[in-house]
Amino acid sequence: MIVGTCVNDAVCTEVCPVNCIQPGPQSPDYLTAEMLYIDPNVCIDCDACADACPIDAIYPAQKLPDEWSEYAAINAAYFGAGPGP
Amino acid sequence: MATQVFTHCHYCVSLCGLVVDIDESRENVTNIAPDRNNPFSWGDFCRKGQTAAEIRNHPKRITTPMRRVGNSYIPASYEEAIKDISQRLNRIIDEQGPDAVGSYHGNPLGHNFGDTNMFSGLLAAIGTGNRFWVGSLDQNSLHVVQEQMFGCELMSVPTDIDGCDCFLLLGMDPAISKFGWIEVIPNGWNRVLAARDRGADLIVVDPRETQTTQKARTHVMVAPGQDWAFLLAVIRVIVDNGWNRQPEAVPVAGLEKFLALVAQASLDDLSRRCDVSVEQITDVARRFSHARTAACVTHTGLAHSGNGTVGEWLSQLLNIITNRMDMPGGKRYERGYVDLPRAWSMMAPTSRHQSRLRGLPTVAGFHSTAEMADEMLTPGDGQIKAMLICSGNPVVSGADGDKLDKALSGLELLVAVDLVQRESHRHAHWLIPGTHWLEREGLHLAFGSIMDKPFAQYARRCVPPLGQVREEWRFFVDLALAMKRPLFGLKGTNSVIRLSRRLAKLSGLEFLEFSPAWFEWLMVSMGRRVKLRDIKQRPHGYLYDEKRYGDLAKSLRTTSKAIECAPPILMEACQRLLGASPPAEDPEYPFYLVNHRHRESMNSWMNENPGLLQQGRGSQAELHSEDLRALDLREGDMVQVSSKTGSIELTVTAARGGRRGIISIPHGWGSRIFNAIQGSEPESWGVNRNRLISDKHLDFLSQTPLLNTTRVKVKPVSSADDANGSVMPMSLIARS
Repeated sequence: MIVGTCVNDAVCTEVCPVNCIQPGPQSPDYLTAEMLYIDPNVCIDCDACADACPIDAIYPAQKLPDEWSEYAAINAAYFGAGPGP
Repeated sequence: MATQVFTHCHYCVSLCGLVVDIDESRENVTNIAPDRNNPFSWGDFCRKGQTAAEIRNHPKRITTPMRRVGNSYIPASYEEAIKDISQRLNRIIDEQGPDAVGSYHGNPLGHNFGDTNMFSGLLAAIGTGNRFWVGSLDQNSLHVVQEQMFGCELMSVPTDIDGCDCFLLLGMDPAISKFGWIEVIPNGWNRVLAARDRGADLIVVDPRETQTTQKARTHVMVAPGQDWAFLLAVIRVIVDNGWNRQPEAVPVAGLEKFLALVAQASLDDLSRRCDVSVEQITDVARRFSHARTAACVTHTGLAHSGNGTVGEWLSQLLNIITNRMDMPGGKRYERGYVDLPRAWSMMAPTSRHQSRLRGLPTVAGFHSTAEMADEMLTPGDGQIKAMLICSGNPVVSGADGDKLDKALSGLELLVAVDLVQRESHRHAHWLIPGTHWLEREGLHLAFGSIMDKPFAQYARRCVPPLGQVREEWRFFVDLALAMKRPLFGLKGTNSVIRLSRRLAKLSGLEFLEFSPAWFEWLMVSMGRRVKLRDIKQRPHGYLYDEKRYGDLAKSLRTTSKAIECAPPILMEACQRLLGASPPAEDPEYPFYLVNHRHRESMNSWMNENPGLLQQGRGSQAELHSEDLRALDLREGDMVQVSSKTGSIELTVTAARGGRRGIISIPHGWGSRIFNAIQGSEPESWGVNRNRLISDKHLDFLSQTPLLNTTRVKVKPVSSADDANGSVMPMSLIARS
């Protein structure tokens, strides 16, 4: 899950093998997005995004620190679905 | 209309199930995604698999045989290639004997059973003892130990992760390279983390700090090359305290002899050697032996360290004396669905041949890659005059590439079979096109026996081979026929092949023609566990049975039918290590060279893929920040790294932590990628760090060069001129 410190760097979108991070830099929504979001139903937990993020704004869904706990729902809501497994 | 094909990736042994979208023409792949309906594997899906079509459509891909004329290559037909190569090989064999023809094959060939089997058949037809392969660079230690202990060179016992309460991992970085080596453990790292979240213990042994060590409850920062000493020390503590148990699932022989050796070793001495305190050794020993279930797992890192074979052996013994062998939550033998020793012998036929110059035996049927250059360069009876290189790049993968390149340049005939012309093929007289796994179908007859579940999947062809490219096995068979030498060295085989082709042509029934499919059918039928038809009918793969324990005892091929715990060659090697002084500090070469994997890089053949490594392409040397400071270096500075063998230049970056005195440089970089078709300037990224490795100093048993633990010195060359402020500065050296 991407948390509130996200700065839309979008390097995560480059490394994700399943394109589950939106909006990507090619998308028109990218310019106005507050942050980027991971689709929990598509994510395969490969960790490439967390690895790449320059400011460590990505955590595994089960390991969200308390201060960012609402971000599981925020990420999922962007894709119009409930939180993933 | 567009369609989908279900298959699995062949890049690494995660074998991720894939769904591949094909366009209307059926010639192009439009998308590759994980097949979430594959019951065995898809969770390790990564960008290498996702961008596979970019390698299949590689802009420099060779699509016809190419013949060298002067300094360029001209296209030719397969018939011309086979005619010329067969004539030249026959002449060399007739004049100088079969050993004058050598072979080398790399990792990608091993991922296709049929192609490897037919390659073995061709080599047997030629009759050469000078066979080399990539296994001598990364897995021979395992083959030696498995043969000595279990009686078969391939008899891996996969980690039984889900019920494991204590993981002791050595020589591996599964957070980056996934959990496979010579065991197929899909999504293994995530499963380990899940076990850890349930309370399992996780102890990782690594001189470096990695993403894997950062998730461990304990990170043991062992001295490079001394894993064997650490393992022996742990075993010593376990035995001294009576924490060992009788193995329940497997008969053992020679255990008393081994325990006598253990009693001779001094714990303090071992602790000094591996630079791990007696306190920490004892703690690990207690935790590992007391855990309800546990597994000690070793991957390729051990193989590279000069004493890796002894380390590999000791890791097996640690599992045996704590009763983890073929037990739930420990290591579980999967007997698969074919006769594994037979299948293995089709990939790696045994050979009693001794190398001409060093008199060394083969390991898994092949001589050490480290011997190749000398065997080509040194005149005399049995000198190698011709080489067949298939799916390999030994100048980059092996030691002392400069010398090997020189050796290859002197050959009378060099034939390279590959997708693209790379560094090791630059002197080739013939380039023969290779296929990509997207273009192939088949069943891997050996992998089924090293999986952590009873699973089989028939890989499906997604797109036809580009242009007129023929599958490698067909080229190998045609070459043997043209040479009039019997495939597999079995008289009569060639007539059967020719007859089968005639019959297939006359009847229009393809399956009548000799092909790898014959072996698939034969081996699966003889295995009597599953039907080939049932495998083929399940595009997402077939979990054909439940896991069960206790098959290892029934499968052992030792004369005693027990696990041999004290094979003489391993006991002697260990005794030698104990008797020798620990490696002395070398003030002239104060650093140990070690290796690490980048997530999106694997070996030497995908690094130019534009879909990968988008954050930066190239290799850097990783040093502890204190070592950087001591050398007055900043991240991004250029250094010269030299050993007694060679010298390279590249930029540095700071390690996350780990030991001082090590420099980690990833393997697989620095190969030029040539454009054989257009003859334009080659591209290349990064540097070949294996130029630093000597081809003389080998692990005595595995014959693997010191890919880890070679001693080097580091000298600043120049400062980075522009500090661009990027968080991950990269060395981008695209040079001609």
